[in-house]
Amino acid sequence: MKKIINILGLAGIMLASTSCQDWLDMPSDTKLDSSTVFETVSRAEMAVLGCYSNTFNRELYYQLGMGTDECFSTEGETNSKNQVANYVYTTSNIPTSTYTAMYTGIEYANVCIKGLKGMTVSSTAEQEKINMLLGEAYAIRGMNYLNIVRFFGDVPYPIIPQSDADGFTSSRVSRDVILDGSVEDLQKAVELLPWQSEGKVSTVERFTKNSACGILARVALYAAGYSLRWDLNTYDPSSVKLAQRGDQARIKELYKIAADACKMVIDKGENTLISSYEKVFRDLVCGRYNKESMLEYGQFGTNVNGTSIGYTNGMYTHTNSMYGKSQPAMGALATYWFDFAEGDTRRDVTIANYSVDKDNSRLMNTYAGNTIGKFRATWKEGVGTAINKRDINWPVLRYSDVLLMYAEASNEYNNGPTADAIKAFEDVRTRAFGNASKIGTTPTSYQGFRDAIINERKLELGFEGLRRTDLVRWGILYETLTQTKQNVIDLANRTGKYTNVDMYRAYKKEKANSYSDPVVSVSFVGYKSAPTTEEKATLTSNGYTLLNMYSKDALSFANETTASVAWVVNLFRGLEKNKVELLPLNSTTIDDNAGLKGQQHPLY
Amino acid sequence: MLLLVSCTFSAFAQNKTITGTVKDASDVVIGASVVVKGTTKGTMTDLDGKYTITVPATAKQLVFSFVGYESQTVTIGNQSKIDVVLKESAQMLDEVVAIGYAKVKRKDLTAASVSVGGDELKTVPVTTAAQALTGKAAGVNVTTQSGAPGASINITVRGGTSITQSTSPLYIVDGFQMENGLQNVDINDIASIDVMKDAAATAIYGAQGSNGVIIITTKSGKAGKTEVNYNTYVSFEKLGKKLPIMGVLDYVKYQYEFQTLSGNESKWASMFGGDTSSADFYTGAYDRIQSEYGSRKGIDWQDLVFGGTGMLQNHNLNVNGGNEKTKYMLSYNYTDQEGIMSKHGYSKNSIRAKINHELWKGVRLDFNTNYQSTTLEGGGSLGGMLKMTILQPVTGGTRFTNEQFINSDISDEMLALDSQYDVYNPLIINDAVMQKKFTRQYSANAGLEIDIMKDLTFRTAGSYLWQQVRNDYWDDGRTKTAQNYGGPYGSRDNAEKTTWQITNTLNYGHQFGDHKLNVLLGQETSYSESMNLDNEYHGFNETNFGLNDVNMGSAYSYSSGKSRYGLVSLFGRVSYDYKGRYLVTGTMRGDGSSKFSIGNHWGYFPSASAAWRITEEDFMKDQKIFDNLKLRVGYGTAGNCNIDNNMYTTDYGAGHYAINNTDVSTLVPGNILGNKNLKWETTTSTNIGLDISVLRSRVNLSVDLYNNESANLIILNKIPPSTGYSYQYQNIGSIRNRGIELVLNSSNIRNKNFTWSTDFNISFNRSKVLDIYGEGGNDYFLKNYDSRIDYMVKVGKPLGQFYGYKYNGVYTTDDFNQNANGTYTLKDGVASLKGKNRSLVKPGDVKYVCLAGEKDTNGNPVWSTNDRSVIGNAQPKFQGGLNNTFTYKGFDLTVFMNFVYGNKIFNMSSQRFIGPYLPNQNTLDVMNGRFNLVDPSTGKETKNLARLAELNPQQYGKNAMWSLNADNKIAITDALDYYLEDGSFLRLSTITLGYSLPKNLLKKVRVSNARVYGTLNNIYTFTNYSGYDPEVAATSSALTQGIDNSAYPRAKSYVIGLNLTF
Repeated sequence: MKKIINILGLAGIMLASTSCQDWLDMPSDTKLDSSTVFETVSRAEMAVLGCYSNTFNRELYYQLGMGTDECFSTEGETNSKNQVANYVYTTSNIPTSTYTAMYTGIEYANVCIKGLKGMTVSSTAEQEKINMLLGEAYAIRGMNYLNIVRFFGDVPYPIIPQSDADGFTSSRVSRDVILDGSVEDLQKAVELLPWQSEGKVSTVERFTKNSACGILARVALYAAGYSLRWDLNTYDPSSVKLAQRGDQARIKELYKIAADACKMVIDKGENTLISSYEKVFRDLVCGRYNKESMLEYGQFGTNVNGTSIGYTNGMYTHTNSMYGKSQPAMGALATYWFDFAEGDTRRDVTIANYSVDKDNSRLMNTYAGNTIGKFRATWKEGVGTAINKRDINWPVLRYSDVLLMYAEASNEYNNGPTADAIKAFEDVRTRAFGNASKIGTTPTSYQGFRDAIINERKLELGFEGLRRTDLVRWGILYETLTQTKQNVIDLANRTGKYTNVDMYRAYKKEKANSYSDPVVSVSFVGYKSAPTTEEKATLTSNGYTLLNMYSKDALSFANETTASVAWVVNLFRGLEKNKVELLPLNSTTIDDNAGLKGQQHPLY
Repeated sequence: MLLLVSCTFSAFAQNKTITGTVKDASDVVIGASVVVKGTTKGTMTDLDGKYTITVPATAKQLVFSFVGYESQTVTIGNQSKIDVVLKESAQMLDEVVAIGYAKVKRKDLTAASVSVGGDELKTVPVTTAAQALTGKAAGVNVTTQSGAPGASINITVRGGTSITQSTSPLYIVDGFQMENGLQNVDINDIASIDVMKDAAATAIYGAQGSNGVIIITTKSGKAGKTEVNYNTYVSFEKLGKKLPIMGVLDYVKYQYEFQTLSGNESKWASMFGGDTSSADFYTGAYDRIQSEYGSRKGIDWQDLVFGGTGMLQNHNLNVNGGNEKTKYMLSYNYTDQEGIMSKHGYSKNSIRAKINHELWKGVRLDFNTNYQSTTLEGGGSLGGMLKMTILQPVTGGTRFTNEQFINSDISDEMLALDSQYDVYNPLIINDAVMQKKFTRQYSANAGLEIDIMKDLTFRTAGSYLWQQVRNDYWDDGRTKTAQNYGGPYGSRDNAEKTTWQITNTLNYGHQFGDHKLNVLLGQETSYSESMNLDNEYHGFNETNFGLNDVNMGSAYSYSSGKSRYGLVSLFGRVSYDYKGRYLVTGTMRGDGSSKFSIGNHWGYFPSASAAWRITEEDFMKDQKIFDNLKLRVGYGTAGNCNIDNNMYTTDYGAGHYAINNTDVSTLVPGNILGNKNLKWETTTSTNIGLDISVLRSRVNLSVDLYNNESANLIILNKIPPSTGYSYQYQNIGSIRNRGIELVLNSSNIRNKNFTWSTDFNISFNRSKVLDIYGEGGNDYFLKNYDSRIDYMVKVGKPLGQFYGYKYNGVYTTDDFNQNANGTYTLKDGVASLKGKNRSLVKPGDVKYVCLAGEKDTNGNPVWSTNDRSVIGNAQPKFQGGLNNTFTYKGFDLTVFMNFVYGNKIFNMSSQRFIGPYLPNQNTLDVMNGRFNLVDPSTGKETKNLARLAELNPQQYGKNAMWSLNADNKIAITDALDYYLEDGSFLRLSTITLGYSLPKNLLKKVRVSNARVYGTLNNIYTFTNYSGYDPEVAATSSALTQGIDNSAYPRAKSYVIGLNLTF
């Protein structure tokens, strides 16, 4: 009996070791092996392009983009997005997609860096191409790490392909080490990448030397700035503090790196501010490129359109309107509108003061109901792929950001604004107001200029996903948001600087009738108190609609503006200094990685 | 049933006539057959048990047989009168059981196996054999996923052996693998189904056998007179049960409270009448509602959508016959089923031809071919239909008439009232969408059997299967989705699969005195290849020709794929038996699979089993109690490799990025990291069984105890995202299933005119997770279904554990302090949701049980996701079936019941269909028991705690229903134990009453057998479950059991049928 089994087993083993082995080897018919990818330059390029789809994530503007002095969550307080936006962190509501997507991009880039380095070339043209691809891979890795570090601080730091690593687990590495690595990556990228004018890349959806310089500056500013730190050896809760890195010389050096990188772009002169701020975003939503936009995250078609730009962060348009549904889950904070000075053309582009109803009529928004206007569907030339796939790219880097970063870095490095820094700052404001005479006086002290830049970035880069962590790197998140909430309460109570704001506004309800809608905002007549019966009658006969700006008479976010209404009460309700400036890790992130056990944010 | 024989041939001179009587122990036997051995000549006994037969002089022996009795062969010699007494057979023992590559008599079986004969299946007029198997075979769990025609069916044997991979058994149809064999082979063509349950039995199928093996044998031609069978039935299906939803009056009150609480009284008024500025709008609201709506007739949407009568008709024509050398069978089946909802149906045409021929002595050829074409319309994927139906407003108030509501889609106007409104006219959606799945399948197999020597037979056989599946979907533009896409759209997906298999076996069987030896040696190779091409088209301006001319639209998305899979096997089996008393079997199989990397291709699966027939022992010879007493012991291993291909490498495939407003192709590896060390899942099983027959084999009992331990389970393990990947397939899990199965067959009464027999089976299975992530990893993971319920898979615990919050009733008025200004404040010490502003909590809000002991900054207890726990289990304590068959003269009556006990069901219907969800949508009537915040006398929300207490005497109940305060929306998305219900049931599954027409009557019209019958299917279910049906499964995954997410309710049906044999 046993003998027979043995014989059978033996026969099986013999069979296994012969011809069947080959027959059983059935590689995939639809996939390449990771080693065969880097056999040709064109495949290698496809692999590098594959990294790009993991360089951005909807969370970066949505959950992680709200909770600032410009943007708030319009969802309910039990909704996890609302909670994260209002600093109510639990280890289960922390978003994980950015973390995952960024590391995916990093692994792809690590594979590409290794693969590209190992390629043998047959011509100089090929070598140039490989250099460019290598530059792109470095730039992606550097940028992706910044996107993790600015929300989570110290995190795992793999810089080799997973296939070369031993094991999966990894522990927190100091953010200073990571960001220094990113600076180095981007410096390599700047060296390897061609200028846009060299014509090697026909798009701003890929890195060029121009955009690598800008992202290098961004990384360097974050590396030099404040962040929430704790003792990585003890995780002692009492060690948690908001601080810059300890090495002052390195901080100085980082500001220099940032300033120099921006200067390189400015001096090259390939990128400019285009004359109209409005056109920047009309171009963006229509998929047109211009000299101001330096790096965009591509969105088009059914396969690469998952970030819902213009839908989640859009202007409200009714399902039955000609534009189809846009269902914003994010709103423009009521006070933000008042932060813009009169004559600033950016206000009505940034904030949509109207919504589109089912019959295509433009209904004015209440204070609470204002939405984000930069990605509005009405400016598009058509619906796009679908209502939540409107083919709108994400603006990763604009030239105005480079100018402001230059002004900031230069101010920090020189301990006060240089003429060049002031010019860069004023260029941005001049474009916004259309005329240098309207921009007011630029402060010349270090602190004054710093504060002016902090304010200017809010006005210039509103809803572009950087504000929340910018406030942290300046070390002023808590103070700014505490003041902002007081402002909202003041507006609700019509006190303080909001004592004289309009109580009512009258406007003409007009219908939109096409895409490429020329309208930027609905114009109105303001009333400090309720119009009299006669005034009302006149308004009605002249075709005006009267709106109580404090009411809940809104198409989107139909909520009153009072100091006791839930959205006001709940605003920034989880805010605590020296605690919420970094997110804890989601408990699943720790569960999935034994190396992170015991390494949670000490205050969670 | 009866062996029917042609009339006697004209007599030859040398013929002789033999007469006699056939009796059994108690009475004469009517209709017993008497045949001249080796011929087809024969006759039957008459009403007195007498027979007369004329036989040629050359005839040597007569064979007497009757169902339920052992055949007797009597040598004729010089006798002209032969009386015989038939001995009741121990039929269970003579039954032939398929064991893989061979068949044995049940008495010689050493492993655990259960069989269901074609006759048993025939008594249940259902469309697939899988349905007919429900409750019939111990240890085999059959669950149909929904009531829709053609719905998927989950079949698991002994709890299944895998955690995350398929638990579907292996199907072998006439010796060849076929996916979903029980659904793919027409029930009318099935002669028998054998389910091999333990590894001692399944090890012969090695790598693929661990989930059990179901062997299906199709009918073959029989030698003798040509026989024509025609079977048909017509079935009428009706909705079995309605979900209780609010009527008009309750609905309007509900809407009033809902809208008032969110300050939208004017929106309510625009729907149901009244002027918010009038003085008594609020105070008179409830009176007006009563007088306006108290007697108004509402719309019964469930009736409109699912209230149709579905008709099912089934026809089967079978012709078979032949002689000793050549036998043939030809079978045609036609099924046409309409669902209870229009545009839902299933139709099938299937033809099978089978021929067995003896080429020369000792050389036999068999050939079997089948073609079938099925069309499935609708199907389960119109998942939102039930929601559309239940949530539809029951009345249109003052704004719409019932007719407007039914005949047009008013959702645009409803959307104007609430931009989240999300239900659309289900009748129109159903009408606008065409969804069809066409499956065409051709299979052929042939075998050649050569008797090399007297005891040695060689068989070589091959099979080929081709299957093409086409899915068409077309929306003519009337649905909301189509409007969002900008007009009509559709898709056409094509998939094609071919499989071939070659099996060579050598069978040796020899008896040396008391020793019997059987040896099987075999080799098998199988290969399958599949490819698909899927296209979706948008941008049609008009419906025009739909998918027939896609040039009128434009391509929206497309994809294609191809995969290959190969398996090479070598196997053998040795059986030895001494005097039929001691039986030993050993098997061994080696399998090489292309799913693993070089070096891991091969897996080896040995097994051994033994049986001791105690009744064959000398010392048992004199006892009269046991007719059969057999002890079986089996031990063995089997494998499972039911994972995707090429999981051993990290492959770079198509990715996408957008550049210059085009979608450019990229190369990316995806989120699963390859694992070159991946190997087989292995199940080791031990089975101990006892077969007992007593009372002259009229009572047969089988008991089986088993212990299955599956190790190296392949789990798609989460790996740290910081690696750049999310998952990797790893051999890290281990699970155990233990159980007892009991099968009892009893022939309670058997006399001349009346018989009564009972078949009963019951099985108990307990699963336990032994290991998930291996050492150092977590000992649990959570599996989510549709973001609505989680499952906790934890080492040491069973599968199927629901994980969620424990509902703690509502905040009562006692939980608050009344303030001087009329408001109220939540008392300190009363728990609230973590992060929730306590000043916003109202009486009637949901409260969950705090388990984790968390506190907020003020020291008040809070609950969060950390307070979730195991709240119930989806796995039953036991389940089984009970079948009673009665015959009286020509009448037969079968009553079949099946039962499941001790499982919990997560009722997703009740979770999704209660409030507060959205205004202007209906809810289940349990919301009538809600906590009322609005005082009917004032028509406004009251903050007076005393008044609230007065309005809500039910508030203290443990399952008190929450209020319509918008914050309670969390309750209809959170996984609460509130939605868990006891899923135990006893189903009166089928009752069939048949009548076979008298033979002497039929003879005149040349019909040999005719039976008419009527069946009631699913006619009543004893259960406390409140949903449509307690037999639920939303998926086939072992991880997410017991979810009622039925998109399509189960029907009950009334059947009339006819069996005719010519």
